[in-house]
Amino acid sequence: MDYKQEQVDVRGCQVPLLTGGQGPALLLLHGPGGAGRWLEFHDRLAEHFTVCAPVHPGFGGTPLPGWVRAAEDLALHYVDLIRILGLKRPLVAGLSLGGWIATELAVFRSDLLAGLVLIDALGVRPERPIPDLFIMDPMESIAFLFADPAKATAMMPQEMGVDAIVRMWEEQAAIARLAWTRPYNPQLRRRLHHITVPTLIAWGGADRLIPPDHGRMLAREIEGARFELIEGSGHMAAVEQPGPLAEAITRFARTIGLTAA
Amino acid sequence: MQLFFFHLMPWPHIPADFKNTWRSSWVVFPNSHYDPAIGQRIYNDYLDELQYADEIGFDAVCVNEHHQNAYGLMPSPNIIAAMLAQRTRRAKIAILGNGICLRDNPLRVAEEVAMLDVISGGRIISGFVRGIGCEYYSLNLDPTFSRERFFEAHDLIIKAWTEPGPFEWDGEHYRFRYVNVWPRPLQQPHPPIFCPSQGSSETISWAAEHRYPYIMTFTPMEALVRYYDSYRELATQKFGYQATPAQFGWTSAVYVAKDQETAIREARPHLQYFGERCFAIPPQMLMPPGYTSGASLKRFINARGSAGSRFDVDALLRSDDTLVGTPEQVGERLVRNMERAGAGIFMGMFQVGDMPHDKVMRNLELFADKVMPYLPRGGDTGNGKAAAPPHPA
Repeated sequence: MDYKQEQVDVRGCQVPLLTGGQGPALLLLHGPGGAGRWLEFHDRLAEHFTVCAPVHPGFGGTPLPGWVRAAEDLALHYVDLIRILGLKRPLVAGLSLGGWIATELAVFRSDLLAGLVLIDALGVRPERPIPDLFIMDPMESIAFLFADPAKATAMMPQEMGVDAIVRMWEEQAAIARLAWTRPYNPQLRRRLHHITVPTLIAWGGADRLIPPDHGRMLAREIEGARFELIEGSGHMAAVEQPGPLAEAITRFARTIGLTAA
Repeated sequence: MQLFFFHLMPWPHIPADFKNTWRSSWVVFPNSHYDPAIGQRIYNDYLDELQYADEIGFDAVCVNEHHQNAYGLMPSPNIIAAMLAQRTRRAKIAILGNGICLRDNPLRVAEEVAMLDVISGGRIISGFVRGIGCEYYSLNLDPTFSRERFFEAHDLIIKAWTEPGPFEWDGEHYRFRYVNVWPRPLQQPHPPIFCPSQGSSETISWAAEHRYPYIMTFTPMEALVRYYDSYRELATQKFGYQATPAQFGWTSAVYVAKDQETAIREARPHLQYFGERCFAIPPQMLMPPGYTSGASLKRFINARGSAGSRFDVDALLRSDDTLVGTPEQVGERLVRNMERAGAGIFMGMFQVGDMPHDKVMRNLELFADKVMPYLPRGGDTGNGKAAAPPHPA
């Protein structure tokens, strides 16, 4: 499917943005490895939504600004982006780390959103510690992220030269800034009742980084939230099961009257 | 040249097969492998070695800071430095260095180093480091702010040492309503600052700007010369002065024996232990994300090959950079390498890996008898602030 690639100036920060599809606005906040990529998942969503997929500051080869100190800073950055793009109450969906940002955004500014979708989201302190991906070599971490490790190759650079290594490492640094000292916000759980928009929690059935029970807990803590298990997927549901995940999101949008039946 | 004895105080009982179970001898290697009863003897042996170095005429003894590892057992270098202040008489005590940005309160470094400087009669050299990548895992510190915190901690400590207190510090990473460090250091304006580093362009430029002696360890000579040349170039072209050999250090293991074959045979297992067990660090632990800039990482990879490349003890022993051999070989290679590096400070590791105490003492004795008298001695210990005492020979 066709999509448009542009740069948006958000208070001096140059944000690469991919836009495609038709329908109500869906702001899609990427997770690790997803920056600046239009994948099959995006195509599926674009059949029903106008998908806006920005790159978080510090990701996808952009410089990591000093003002990024926590996921909250990026949530406020997306408040600016929603205004700049003139999005009228978009559906906001966040994958993994992007789910953390989406949660923070919904806690403070539910009034800006039509709905919230959290997919294998970080952000709330889990019952069991999150494995330390930073200390693992790449092959090891793949086992925690993917149910089917073969799916990971689609995310890997074509050639693993010095430049590709440096690029991946810089992206890791952007993740580290948010998640190294604590891969969650200890305050977030008690704030979840501030989320007042319809919410879908979607979770890879084989997520070994944050098991699905954590998603079920989120669904209980956020009023009226529903929970969908994505079978055959690990933490990277958008890569492993793009069809079923996009369908779950579309179904959810329909039930809240966002898209036509 | 200035002769420093650089000690790591390694744990000498890492099992040969530990890598089958543990990714590194750092961070995750269980501390159940540390035996405090053996540790008691080892610490004191190591201290005896450093004390002996002072007695036989070394210009300085060195300590350093590393955490949660079997490579070097000085999580608090200032504690070892305090003992050396009592055990030594004339050698300088080089702390290479304190991980100033590893502390949430860098003023503790300002206080402790000032205490040491006063107690030792002004014999402290104060190295400042960021710690290697592993430290950021062990101390749960965000590596992406490492450099910013390092620069700010440095500025804070120097100001605490040189400007009258109390004053307020309101920085990006540190804030203190009252900065008023007691005691003040004996050396004025402050003890010499050294900058041990892994060669990031940002740190080289910063060290050149402040004229701080710059020391890289475990770096192949060709790469080291390139790094030092960039310091010298920056000094002349950007900062308007000529860098001197006193601003550069070169580090090597040293082992002396009556003939080359004996030296190699006796040193080999300990070098191998050091390379394969002490220094077993996968790339992501050596260079965690954001620890340096992408450009510096690229330079680092290009200079050293893959950071996780296999350690080859025989290549090391064959190399001209390695000071293992007869007194004549060691002396000649030492002088030649110092010239190649343009360095005035030699930091010798006379204890390596699991080398036992008696071997270390023999090594030091032979070096003192047969090598030291033929070395050009003198020069200053950087900053031009403190002249070295003349060599007794």
